[in-house]
Amino acid sequence: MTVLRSMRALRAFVCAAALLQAGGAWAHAHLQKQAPAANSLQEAPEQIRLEFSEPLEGALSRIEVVNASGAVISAARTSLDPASPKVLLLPLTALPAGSYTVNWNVVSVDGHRTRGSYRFTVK
Amino acid sequence: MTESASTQIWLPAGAISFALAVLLGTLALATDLPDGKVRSLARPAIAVLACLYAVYLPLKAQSLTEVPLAELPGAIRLVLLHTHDGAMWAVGMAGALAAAAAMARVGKLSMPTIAACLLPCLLAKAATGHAAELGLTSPFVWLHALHIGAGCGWAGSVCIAWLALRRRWYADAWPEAMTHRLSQFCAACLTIAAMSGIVNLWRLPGFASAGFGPYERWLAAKLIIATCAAGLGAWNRWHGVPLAARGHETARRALRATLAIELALLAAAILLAAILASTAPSM
Repeated sequence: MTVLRSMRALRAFVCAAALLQAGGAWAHAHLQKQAPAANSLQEAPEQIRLEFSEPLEGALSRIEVVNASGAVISAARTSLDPASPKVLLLPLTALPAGSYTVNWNVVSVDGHRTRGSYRFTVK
Repeated sequence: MTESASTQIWLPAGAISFALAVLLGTLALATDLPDGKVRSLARPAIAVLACLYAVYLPLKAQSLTEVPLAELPGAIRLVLLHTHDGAMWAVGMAGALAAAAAMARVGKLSMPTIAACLLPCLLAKAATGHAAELGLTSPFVWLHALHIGAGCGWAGSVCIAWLALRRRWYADAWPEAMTHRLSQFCAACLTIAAMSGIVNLWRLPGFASAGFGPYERWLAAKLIIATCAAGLGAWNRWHGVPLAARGHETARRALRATLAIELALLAAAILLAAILASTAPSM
């Protein structure tokens, strides 16, 4: 009887664990996609779009675009994409030809900050 | 990509867990504690819990925003009103204040009421950290809250039992009922913590193939410490407690000593859990 009860408990535990496994990954935001792409040569983009592995805290996450001489050229506010809390957007005014660095500094909902940067070139 | 470590947060987070542990331990052993001891333990523990929550918010706000001290009030407001961490802090603080209010209002201490008030604290802890993206309604967060509650209950009951034996609250009579209840409660907590811990491990991204970074090192340390504590608990359950109940003074001294060691190990495990909550797993 005890063995039967233990088996039932084990089966319930495995089912619950399998159900929970589908719940999501462990948070900490890692950059997964970016537009414009890193090290790309392209026309002036209308916005920077960064997609992360986890939902972000919009109020604490920032994107900054810096030109070749080190001046910050992005004046607009960074915002979360209304369609996805994992996507951060920064609208841009028409960028002149040159090399640019995108610096991102984000906080995921688990309260951990990650940061990084990449470059692209406008032709 | 680099990560900013919120190193200053683990200490108050661990202290909050320990205050919760003392409360849960008091509630678990309440029926076998001498008159007046429950209130004299629970009251300061709830006050300390509320104070720790009050200290935690500015530290967390500074950690999240990285602002200088002069800009901290604005950062606290930002974190409280616009972040998941702020919302969970409010849930936890509300639980602590509700427990304090329950303690002040209820003439005879109502254990179920206070236990119910501590549930938001456990849920808020579970929903902060690595499970944050899932939200309070996720079954995983509830299971993780159970894991935290079981770990804290285990540590807290060992702490209260050790205090009771060390301070000789029962005069010359050996508290057989209390040590028996401790033994049963710890066994239940260990089972729940181990099973929910397995699910936690399973959820680690690429657990089998992940590297052995700082997170995995802290996790290994926590598992080793918890295993040692479980070994001591098992020794107490099947050897120490029955022998002490038979009246051997040496066995009673040995039980007090092993409880002290078990408590130290569990306190270390609670601190390691707080460090793990602020460390990223290797991907």
